[in-house]
Amino acid sequence: MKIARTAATSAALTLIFTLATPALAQQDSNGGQSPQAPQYGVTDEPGDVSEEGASTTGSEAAPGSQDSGSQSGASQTGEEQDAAGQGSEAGQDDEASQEAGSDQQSPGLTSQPTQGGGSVERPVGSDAAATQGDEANTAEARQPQKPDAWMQDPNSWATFNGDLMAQKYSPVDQITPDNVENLEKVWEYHTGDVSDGSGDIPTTVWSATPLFVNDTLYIGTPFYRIIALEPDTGKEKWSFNPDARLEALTQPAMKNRGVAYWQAENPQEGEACQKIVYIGTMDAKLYGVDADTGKPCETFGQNGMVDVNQWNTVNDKWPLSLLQAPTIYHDTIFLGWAGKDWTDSAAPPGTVFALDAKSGELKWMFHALPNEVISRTGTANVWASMSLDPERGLLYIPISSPSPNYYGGDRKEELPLATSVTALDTDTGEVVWSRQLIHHDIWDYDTVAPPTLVDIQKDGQTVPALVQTSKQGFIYVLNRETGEPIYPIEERPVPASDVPGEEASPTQPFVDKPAPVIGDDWPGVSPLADAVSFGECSRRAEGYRWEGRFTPPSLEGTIAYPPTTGGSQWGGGAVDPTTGIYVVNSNSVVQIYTLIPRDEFEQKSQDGETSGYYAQGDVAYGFKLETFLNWAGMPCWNGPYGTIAAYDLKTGERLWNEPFGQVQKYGFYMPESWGSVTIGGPVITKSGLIFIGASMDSRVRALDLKTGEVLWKGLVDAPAVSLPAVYTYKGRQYVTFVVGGNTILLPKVSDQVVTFALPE
Amino acid sequence: MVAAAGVAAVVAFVNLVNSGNGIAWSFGAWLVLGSSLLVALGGALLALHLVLSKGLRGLMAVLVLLGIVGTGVAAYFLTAWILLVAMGVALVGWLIHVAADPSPLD
Repeated sequence: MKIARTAATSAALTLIFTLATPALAQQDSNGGQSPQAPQYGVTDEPGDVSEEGASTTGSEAAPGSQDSGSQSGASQTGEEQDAAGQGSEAGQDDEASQEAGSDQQSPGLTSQPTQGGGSVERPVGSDAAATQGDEANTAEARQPQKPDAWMQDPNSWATFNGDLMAQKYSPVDQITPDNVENLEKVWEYHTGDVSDGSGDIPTTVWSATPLFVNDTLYIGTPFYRIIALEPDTGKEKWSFNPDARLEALTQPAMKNRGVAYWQAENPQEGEACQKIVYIGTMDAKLYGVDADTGKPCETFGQNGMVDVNQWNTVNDKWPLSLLQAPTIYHDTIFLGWAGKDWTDSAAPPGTVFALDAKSGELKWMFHALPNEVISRTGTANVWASMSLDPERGLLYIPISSPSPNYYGGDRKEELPLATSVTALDTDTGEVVWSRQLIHHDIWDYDTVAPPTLVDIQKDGQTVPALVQTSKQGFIYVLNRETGEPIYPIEERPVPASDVPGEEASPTQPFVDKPAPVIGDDWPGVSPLADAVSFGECSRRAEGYRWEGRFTPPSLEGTIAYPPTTGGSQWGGGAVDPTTGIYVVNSNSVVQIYTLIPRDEFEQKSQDGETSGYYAQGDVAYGFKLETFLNWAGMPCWNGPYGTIAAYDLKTGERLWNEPFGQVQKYGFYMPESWGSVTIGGPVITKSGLIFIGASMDSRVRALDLKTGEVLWKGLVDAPAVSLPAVYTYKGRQYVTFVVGGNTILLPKVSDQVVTFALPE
Repeated sequence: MVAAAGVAAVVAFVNLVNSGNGIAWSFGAWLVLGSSLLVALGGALLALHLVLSKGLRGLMAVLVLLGIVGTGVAAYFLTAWILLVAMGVALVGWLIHVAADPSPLD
């Protein structure tokens, strides 16, 4: 039986990694891209909108005064190379920004350099412009802020991550490890907004977190509708349809990660839009509707819609897709965007917008890249969720890598804010501190998840911490006031690039504690896959370049471990703030990065061999991405392919690390010890449970927080590639999963919303 | 053996069409439905002594055994436990058939 099981397992896995992993690679970079997606040309709508925005706002640019340079906590100590580099670079970039003029500046806005070569634009005469200043930009000088009262209800799940601090924690305890086995389905609802890609509408990828607030469950769909449901029955209250364009403008699929909610501090009875639900679209439109009726808010933008693409004025090759639910705090909407990388060198440079929650007017716009490089690069955007410290008024943004993603020979500047976690002042948009996680990123290691904010007890003190997961597998634990590491981050030498024109960074930041979610060395050749391929896996492995983490892409092919699909993805982790136990799921995938000289790349393109080949604009090298598979499509590396782990943040020790989920292909389930590649993230409850979907076997699970043991699992219609919502309504605790599926895991999509609870 | 394979085919059909069981309409569900039917057919041929040639009877017995084992393994990976039990019963039937009537394997 064991032999048969192994053989069947191998056979069933054959095509999984052929299909799933390359697709995953496309999916998660800046939210994904597809070489087949229609090009969003500058003559199309975005360009028109951009010009229209420019002509209507039309005031003269007024560069602001230079910021005071480095205030990074790290650079204050001078202990960290990246921080020191950032400090000096920030000053250089500020200066350079002024010299370069205001390429990213929109008319009617003032521009102010900030740390790390970034800049902030604000409307002339705005409150934010008036309050800006160096003095306010230090932890000591910052005034304590008050959280929004409506967001403090422990029974609600009011944001994408449950709360602004991205703890993904619910203080409810009705469902416990002892009774979770009795969990039953209470209701399910089908939105109807689903496509398997066989028709005119691209396939759907639905990763929305349901919000429970205002006694209502709010759902955003991949067709960009908002649906309001009764939380205990699933009965529809209302729905809003913006009639959005259902085209793959930047992504290979119709994607949505949910909605955001805002309400006035003192809602006026009978007055419309005192509570608003927002949803963004693929073509950069942000809609705001009344949370009680679903009717568009006339006072929000133009008849309930803000066209964010009006600020897409640089390298506007595609629209700024609003797929991630925004972050809302103190009557302000904080908004990032997703785009399309790997195809361009110069691309829209990364921005974060702060909009007035009631009117949609721009408060400030943060730019992560300096002006002088934007003719050669772009992105470094924020496509994942953000987190926010409501008492400190700091917004924490995970900034992605710059384009082109695998060759940096034309962007050798340090770009300190790229691939970083950065803290912004919510009032002004200025950088308070930033920590670059990858120098000169040539691996597409976007910072993908919102950092989790939690106070931890360490050495007898309460430390305001930030926990940042990463594709590279490190877990960075920082002081969220200063950016200083709580557990050491060490600059270590890494391999040099052997590609003419490229200059890889000589060092990269390493973290040993908490232990990385994947090992330091790649998992090695799978004996089974090697045998099936008559030694093909071994022979190829010997021919590739591998000198440990951060081996640069090469002409002969480099083993990338973890690759862009590896480590921890956008779901991030969850924490129990009362114990400091942190949980995160992760992937173990091996891919091959190969740079291809432009001449050869063009020839390959002419041959039509475009699958796995990416142009990277007009730089010297195109790029080939392949997952390390044998001729039969079996993964050439050893499993497990997905795990979930728990850490004690007080000590940095890993408490347990278990394979998670099961691979499924053609209906067959692989052994649990192999784990599953996962998309989505966990949620923790006070009673000591972890709720998570994420795996490709179409199961949702409850795990014991103490041991990682699976205590309950439920079958759903497709992989639940989202974060669940945990809430209490009329005294009963519910757990709601959005079940959208993702074709990169399994060719199975769904429109199911399903809610579980204990029997009454 | 024939009865067990017949029950297995019914179970496999239910698994195929019962949406929400995690394997409905999957390749694996179709596969075990087909293999269950083939096992039932092969078992019937053996049981009714419809295969006259000694060599063909032996070949048929081996094929039926492979069908039972293969369907059982597939059922295991589909987590189709009733189907797996049915294949276990079919295997017992096959053993009885071989023990009681060794001629097919002569």
